[in-house]
Amino acid sequence: METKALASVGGNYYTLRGLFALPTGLIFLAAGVFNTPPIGAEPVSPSAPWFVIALAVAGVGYYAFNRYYVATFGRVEPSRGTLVRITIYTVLCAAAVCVGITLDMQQDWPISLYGAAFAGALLAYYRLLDVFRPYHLGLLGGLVVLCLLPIWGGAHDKVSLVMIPMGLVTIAVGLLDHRDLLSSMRQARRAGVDEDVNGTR
Amino acid sequence: MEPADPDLNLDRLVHEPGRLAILTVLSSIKSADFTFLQQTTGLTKGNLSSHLTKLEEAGLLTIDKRFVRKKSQTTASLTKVGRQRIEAHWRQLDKLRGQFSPGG
Repeated sequence: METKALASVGGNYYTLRGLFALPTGLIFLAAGVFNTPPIGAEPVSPSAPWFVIALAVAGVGYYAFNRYYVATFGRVEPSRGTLVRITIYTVLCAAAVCVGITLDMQQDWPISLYGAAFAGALLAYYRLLDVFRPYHLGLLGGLVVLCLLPIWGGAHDKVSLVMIPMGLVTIAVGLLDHRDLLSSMRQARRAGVDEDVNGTR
Repeated sequence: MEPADPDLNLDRLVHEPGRLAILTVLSSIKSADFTFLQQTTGLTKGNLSSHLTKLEEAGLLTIDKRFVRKKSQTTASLTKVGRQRIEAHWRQLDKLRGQFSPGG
């Protein structure tokens, strides 16, 4: 019996429900597209109602994906230790992103610290929660590199512009996390056995 | 014939593959419902139900049954004893592996 597969599937389930990243990515994309010329112009533009619609779609998405996960895979309550770790890492990630966005707005550097902080924080988050995969490094590492390239200086509003690649990467990572979850579920089922209570198949 | 090493006796209740799978899944989380356990262990509803009952009777699990929107929801979580028994079982298996490995 592959105990590692069985033990990790429960612990990682909470983190690898990647479909939740799709509405989040949609919000990033919408914020980026609707705030960036020629479609939108800050602070308020005629595209604002479209952003509200995107938010509503994202809300429906969260609800639908939650229903899907509960109906398909059931409910899991992570251990207290896992919950504490997730909370601490989420707060630290949010703090890193806040620092990045503040520096981006205060300084006139040609790089995007907001995007770099977001991708770097997510990389650390996955690593610390033991669900780090090569595609995390490829996609989020690629986003860090892209954000640190000195190409963002000429942007009208780089904070909004960087949300477009952030949204695309969030969606891609979410889809791959979900695929990983499905594969770990299959692996766990292979590790388990279907036999009757007396031990005969 | 040498008497069996009592340290290497396996816990038969825990060692049965279906029950071992259930206990292993639950060892990494606080609780899980029937659907999740079925999805991860690959056991049929009937077998999973029987194993859960056995483990609950032995005091290794607590089972909470409730109705949510007219649907029954069964949630299982390891007791302190259950957690100790599964951890002890894995230690036993590691010992056995060490004993019978080529270098052991």
